[in-house]
Amino acid sequence: MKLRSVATRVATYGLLIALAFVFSYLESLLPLNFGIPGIKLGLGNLVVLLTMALLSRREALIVAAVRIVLVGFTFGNPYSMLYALCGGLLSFAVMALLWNSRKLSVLGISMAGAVAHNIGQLLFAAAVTETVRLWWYLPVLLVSATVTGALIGVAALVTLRRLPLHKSNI
Amino acid sequence: MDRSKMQPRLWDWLIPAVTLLVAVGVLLGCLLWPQPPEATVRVTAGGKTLAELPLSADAEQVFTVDGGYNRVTVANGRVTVSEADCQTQVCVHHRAISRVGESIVCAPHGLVVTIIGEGDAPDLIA
Repeated sequence: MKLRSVATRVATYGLLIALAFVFSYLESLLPLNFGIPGIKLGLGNLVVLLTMALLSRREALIVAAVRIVLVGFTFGNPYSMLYALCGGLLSFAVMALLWNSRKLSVLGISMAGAVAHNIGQLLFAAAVTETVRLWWYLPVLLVSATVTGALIGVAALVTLRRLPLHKSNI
Repeated sequence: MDRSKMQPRLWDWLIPAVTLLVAVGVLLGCLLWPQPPEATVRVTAGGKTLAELPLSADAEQVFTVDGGYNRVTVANGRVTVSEADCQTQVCVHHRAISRVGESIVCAPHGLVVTIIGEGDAPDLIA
């Protein structure tokens, strides 16, 4: 798909960012943290993945970054925004890089993105708190990221299959 | 779009496989790390040490930091953040820690509770 006119561009960005924003809000209302603190499903990443698949990486980066800044201003503070940006941007970088691979589907890329997200946040926490003693938490974060990443990946696959891609002409 | 991305592949499972290997490696490293006998609970904020409490003695202390407070409780060789006014409450929900190297982080307050070993003193002058 190509965004042809300025109007479709604005409308599509608005739609995608609104969806990602609402997902983030939903997630804060229903914390599916599986009983482990600091764990979340990452519904926002579902929109980023779908944007990458339907449009391109450029649009996906804008959706990812704008969502985090919006959520930070609305529900968080500058600190939590930076924290989220660290995870979000590392996650995006890894997913954008792996997107080149012809061997991986959206499922694998989603899992890699989730893992990168958690590593990014752990690194940020380690840097800010000036402690390297967060090793204990790394295995927990890695395992949970593969689980949540797989769930989001499956959701992305199902969504992509059901979208009438041959009809869309935006 | 690239339709090959819509079909799950066997290669996708390489990602969790590598991740789980790393997780097991880190976990083993943590478990096998030699543990000094006497452990201390160190509370820091922004890199500065606020207090060091012996892990063996029950204690409770409130730490006031930028933006709020955290109540740290030591009981039966286990440490918890029993109360805090941070937004996320991640530190409060964190399970109790008891081993050297474990820590509870209150990210919004920049506060870290770490269990350190005997030879881990920050400086000998103070």
